[in-house]
Amino acid sequence: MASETNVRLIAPAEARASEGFTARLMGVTLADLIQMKCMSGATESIRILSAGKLGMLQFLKGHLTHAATGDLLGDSAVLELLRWKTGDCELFVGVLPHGSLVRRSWQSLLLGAAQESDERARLRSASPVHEALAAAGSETPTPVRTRSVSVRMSQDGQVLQSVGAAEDLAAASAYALHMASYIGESLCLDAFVGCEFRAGDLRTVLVIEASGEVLAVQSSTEADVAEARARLGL
Amino acid sequence: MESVSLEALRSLRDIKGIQGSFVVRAGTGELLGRDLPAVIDDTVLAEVGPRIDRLLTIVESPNPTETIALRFSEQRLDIKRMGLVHLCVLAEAAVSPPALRMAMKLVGRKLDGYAWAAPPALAKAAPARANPATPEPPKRTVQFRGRKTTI
Repeated sequence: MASETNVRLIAPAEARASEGFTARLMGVTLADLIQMKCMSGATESIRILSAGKLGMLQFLKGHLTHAATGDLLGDSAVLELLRWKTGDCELFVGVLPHGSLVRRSWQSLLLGAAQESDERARLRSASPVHEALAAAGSETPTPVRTRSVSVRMSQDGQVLQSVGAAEDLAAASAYALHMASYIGESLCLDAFVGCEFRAGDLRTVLVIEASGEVLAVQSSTEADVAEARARLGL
Repeated sequence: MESVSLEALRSLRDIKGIQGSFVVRAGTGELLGRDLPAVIDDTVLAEVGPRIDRLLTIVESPNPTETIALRFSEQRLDIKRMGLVHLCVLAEAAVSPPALRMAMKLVGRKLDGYAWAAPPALAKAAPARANPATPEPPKRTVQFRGRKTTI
């Protein structure tokens, strides 16, 4: 994880507990903060402001349950927030009226972000383009990646929730679901539970969940699809 | 399918959990070769082949889809795109994924080097050249409707 991350933690007056310290910390990474909140079993939310961008993390009894920034929600939002280098954090007590959108454990997310950070550093050192961008004073060089897209849908193809421009992914997933089921039935296989497509660096993983809903994730970053792949045992 | 290619498919069974494999032509899904239990007949594979071929085209990306892993409760079907054909491997869900990937890669190399016969339409379109000096091609044993036939 990048060491230059600098998060200031400011608790507003209304959020201050009657007991305990109010902290103003410098040089704390967002990963440190997530770890601290999860290990202390906290139930609270954190608003994060960085370079004009706003993000939010929510903890429920020590579990990271919700995250949002821009048009990203859940796991993708956590990974995006962990890419931010500096910012201000503000605690607020209470839980937002959403179910749990973060599916991976906080440990898995921190590990995924660390792996991605390492990969970015490796690309920077290997690629002259990234070196040139860095030399030109560009803001953090953007790694070569496709933004993660995900969609949750019913098995009849109705989109229930999506992150990013997911129209094509929803259509492809609905089609893949039908084709894979036909193939399975023809070969007398058991119930279809999911699949993975690999096209160059792009990974598309489709999982049929216990609820019957279909979760499809598409990304060129391994960490974004790692949990879905693991659930399929791939 | 020549015995060398059939042998290549059979070698996949060296990996614990692999139940069999088959090869279909890219673009049409036509069945070209198989090493599967007899319970799965060629009629079934003739239906499955075109669907597999279509599955490989649905993800829009600058690069073509190279592999697909279809996961079922107890089994999995892995598909690998090669030059002219797609290699499809049926395995137990508990098969070792890295071993399966490596086995498919090795067999893929062997099958990639094989001169797959041109589709009938292309063969008809090719100009007929009578050359009495050309020796007759060697006979081959192919799998046709579940039976081995020499052509």
